Amino acid sequence: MQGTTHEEAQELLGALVDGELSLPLRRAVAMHVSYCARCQRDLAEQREIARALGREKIPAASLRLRNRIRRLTETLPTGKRRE
Amino acid sequence: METDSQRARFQQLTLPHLDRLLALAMRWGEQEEAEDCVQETCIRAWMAFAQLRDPRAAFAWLCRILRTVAIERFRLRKRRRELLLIAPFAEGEEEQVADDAPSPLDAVLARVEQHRVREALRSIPEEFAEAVELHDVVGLKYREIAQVTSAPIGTVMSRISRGRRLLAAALIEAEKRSGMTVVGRAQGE
Repeated sequence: MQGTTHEEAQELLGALVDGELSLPLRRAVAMHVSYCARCQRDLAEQREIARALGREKIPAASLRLRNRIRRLTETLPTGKRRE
Repeated sequence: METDSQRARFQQLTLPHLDRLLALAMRWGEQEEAEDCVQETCIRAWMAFAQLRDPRAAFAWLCRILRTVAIERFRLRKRRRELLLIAPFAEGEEEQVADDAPSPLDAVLARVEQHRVREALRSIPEEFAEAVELHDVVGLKYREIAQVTSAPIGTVMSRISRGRRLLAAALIEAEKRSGMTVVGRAQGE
């Protein structure tokens, strides 16, 4: 993989942070970031946003909902298995 | 009996994911509406349970069904509401992109209440918010997000990068606006 343009790198910074790039792409984007101040700043922002959202507490499903889900499998038929 | 084992298997594959499904459904409505949405999702999943071939894909499969349910029930209504809010934040991002100065995001995040970050997701365009939320809040991999949203993986990558950038700009812009009120007052004195 050759180097990457600034525009391409910008689109891939999130995937770089999340470990979702192939090795050649990871190297190409990391190479661009090493000398691009804007991408260095944006990469830090990607990390901070991901971390902040990852800390968010998600609401717990109520017992009522859990019981409703359990009951529905007892009262409704499931679809026929496709052969 | 086959139905009993199917029922047990279905519950085993769905009940552990209810919290995350509910969190996702709350993008489109409040708790009660979101719970209805999750229930509808589980009904459809139960009816189509035979179509789930890989149990490891159960959560992504449920997310995909939930998304369809949500699109039918809430999305159009939410989208109409959001259109009023998108423009100012999109402008905010342009200002950010045009600026090479160090990001104030770190300081903003230290001040902002935790749940506000997720709330701010509602102010950015739907396709970006959805990809960011599916990854950062719900915990799906890019490949799974591509399946859930029927988008190519390259699009998922781009949406997550741009979505986080928009969210950062929205948070900074909101902080700037609240600060401007104080500064404006002080300068006027």
